[in-house]
Amino acid sequence: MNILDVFRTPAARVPVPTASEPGIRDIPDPDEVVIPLEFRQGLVLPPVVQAGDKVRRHQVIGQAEGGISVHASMAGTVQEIQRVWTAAGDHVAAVVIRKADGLKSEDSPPDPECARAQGRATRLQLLRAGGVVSPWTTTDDDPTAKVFQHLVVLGHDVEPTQHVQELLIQERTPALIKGLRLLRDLAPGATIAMTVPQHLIDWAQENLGPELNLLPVSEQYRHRLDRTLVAKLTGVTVPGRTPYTSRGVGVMTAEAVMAAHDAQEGRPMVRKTLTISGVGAPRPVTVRVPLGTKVRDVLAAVGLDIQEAGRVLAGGPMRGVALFTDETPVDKFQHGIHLLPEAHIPAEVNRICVNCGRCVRACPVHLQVHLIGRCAEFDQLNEALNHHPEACFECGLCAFVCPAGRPLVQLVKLARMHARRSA
Amino acid sequence: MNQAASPRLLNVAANPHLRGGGTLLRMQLLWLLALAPAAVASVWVYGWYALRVMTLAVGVSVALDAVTGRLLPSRDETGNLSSAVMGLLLAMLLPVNAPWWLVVIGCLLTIVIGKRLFGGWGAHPVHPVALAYAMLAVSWPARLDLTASLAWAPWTSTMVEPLRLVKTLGAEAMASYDQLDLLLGHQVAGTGAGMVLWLALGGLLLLVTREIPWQVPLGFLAGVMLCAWLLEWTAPGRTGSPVFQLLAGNTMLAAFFLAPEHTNSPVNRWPMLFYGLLGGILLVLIRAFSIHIDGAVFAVLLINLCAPLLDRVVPRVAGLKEEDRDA
Repeated sequence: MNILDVFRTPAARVPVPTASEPGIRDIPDPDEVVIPLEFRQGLVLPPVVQAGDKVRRHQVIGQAEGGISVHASMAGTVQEIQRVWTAAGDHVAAVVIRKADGLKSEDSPPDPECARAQGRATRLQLLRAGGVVSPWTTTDDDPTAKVFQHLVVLGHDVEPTQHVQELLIQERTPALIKGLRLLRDLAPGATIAMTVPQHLIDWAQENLGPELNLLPVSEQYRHRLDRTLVAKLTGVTVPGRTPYTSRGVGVMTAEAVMAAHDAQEGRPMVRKTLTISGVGAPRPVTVRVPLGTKVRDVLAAVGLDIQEAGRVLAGGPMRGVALFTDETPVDKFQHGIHLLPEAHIPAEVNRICVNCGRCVRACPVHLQVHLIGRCAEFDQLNEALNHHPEACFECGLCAFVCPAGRPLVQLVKLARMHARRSA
Repeated sequence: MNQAASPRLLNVAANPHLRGGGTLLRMQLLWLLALAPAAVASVWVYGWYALRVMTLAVGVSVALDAVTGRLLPSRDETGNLSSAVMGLLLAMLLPVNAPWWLVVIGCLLTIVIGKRLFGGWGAHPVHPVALAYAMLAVSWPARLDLTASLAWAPWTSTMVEPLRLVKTLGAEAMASYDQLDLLLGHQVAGTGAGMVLWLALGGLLLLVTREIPWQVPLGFLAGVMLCAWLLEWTAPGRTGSPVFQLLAGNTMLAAFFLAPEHTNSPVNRWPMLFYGLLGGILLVLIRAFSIHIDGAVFAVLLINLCAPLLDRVVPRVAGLKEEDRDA
């Protein structure tokens, strides 16, 4: 141990698991996919298919005004349109597609029409039609009016268990480079920065071009938080769950940048890359599955069984959402599935706060977490609002370092809900 | 949907799903471990007398904590051993010949008045041990006379409490003490408070394991040195030299174990540093200008009271707009 560590900030060292399996496994289509018609949180599209319709892969199944679309991720018959719970906790309409005999799932070839498309407006239109979640996908009348000063591409995974972005940027480098060029066309004059895992920085400098501002990020979870990194790269701190776009910053994952490039060639985003980790998996496995595949089918495809897991997490262990059922479909926003062993489920003991202040010193946004926690605990929610719980983005470090095992993220969330209600 | 397979309902909770903070028990065990070198050295120097005071204080404290925990229910469990640490700290301050009733009353003041009545560990406004010792010192000053308590001891170095001699004779009295003796605990002091080197080693353990932030103890020691140096310069002969201030009395115990108590110290970085500095400065001022011989517990009590105020100096919450901040 370095003696100078004593003088450095918090001892919040989230364990970094073993190296991932190299490469990405393509998982064959499941028997059934459930595709929520939610483009992103709060933006639900009306369906354009009905039960009994035969669909092919890439076919539009939900579309809103302005051309924002959701696509079928495999060929089959539409069984029904029903409401499902997404991992993020929304209850939205979803299209259930069952594999049908005689229908083959084939990727549509690149559309030469699209490839010839010119002009910013056309390109943005293709992006929206391609099912890519980008800073420009809004229901605004004129997305072309959105101008960004800064664009940040996340080439690393925030959660310690995930390896999606780092594997993808190595596997699909040409698509990434073309996608970055596209970003430059879409946001002329904006600075474009990209985060890269520390161990890939030399590779990135060689392959991704010198004009890109590259930021190496270490393995430590607390150095990988996207909002902190965006602030570091752009000077704009976006608090809490405020969308980046509202402060003039566009943030996309490397995966989304590649999907944006695919969309320009007429191939919408119908697959998601995920890292599967946790109990039963000796090392994390990164897979590519059709969107809408149920968590159960993903796990079965890599030979895992939820019976062994205590908790199934969409995302990773620090920020992931605990799923109440393994029928939750894979969506565009979760980059992993983590199976938490029964023995590792933290005991929610909620002991007394002894004011040790570790949560405060671990907090990346400098909240007085201990005070918010105590106020929320003792029903003094108005008092809690003085400490700005709305700035929290739920990285989980406070609860991670708490020696009393207090559910601090939950308490801060409670205070924040109160803030929203009283606003 | 696959209706055939009935879905298994799964365990859910808010994130994070990993915890790395240990437990309160582990925290207090670390404190006990950090106090162990001084406790062992004390038994080495004073023999069974020291062991008697320490076991009595720890035993009575834990027992009182268990009983009052039943009477005044709180989530501060006896099992987290905070009462054992407090008992041991109290024993280290008391003289080795403290009668049993004095120890018991001290434990009562620490655990019942200082801790439980306020709601337990995490809720007390000042350090219970500092409070209890201050109450004892005011109530039975003769019983806490450290010089008298060691009249029987066999070693030959100056048999007067260093700070008392300096207080009565002035700074030249320092010459009668060997600094190595003071460092190794061959000095007239409380049961464990004089084991300067061993307390510092224990404190270092707490620092290296990041159990306590460095700002408080190092700020405290810096405050002591700074203030003693200034006094040496402006009022020569008034009190001991900076190094003497570190080695004599309860300085080390206060710097590493009393001032950094989590409940009563600030949590933000600058306030912690200021809190430590203030404690050190107050300690030397009390030693130099008050009727008290060693001001450690009074200095700790005073900075404890300042802590909530100091903690109002908070870092700026990242990303909030200017108008939100003043609200």
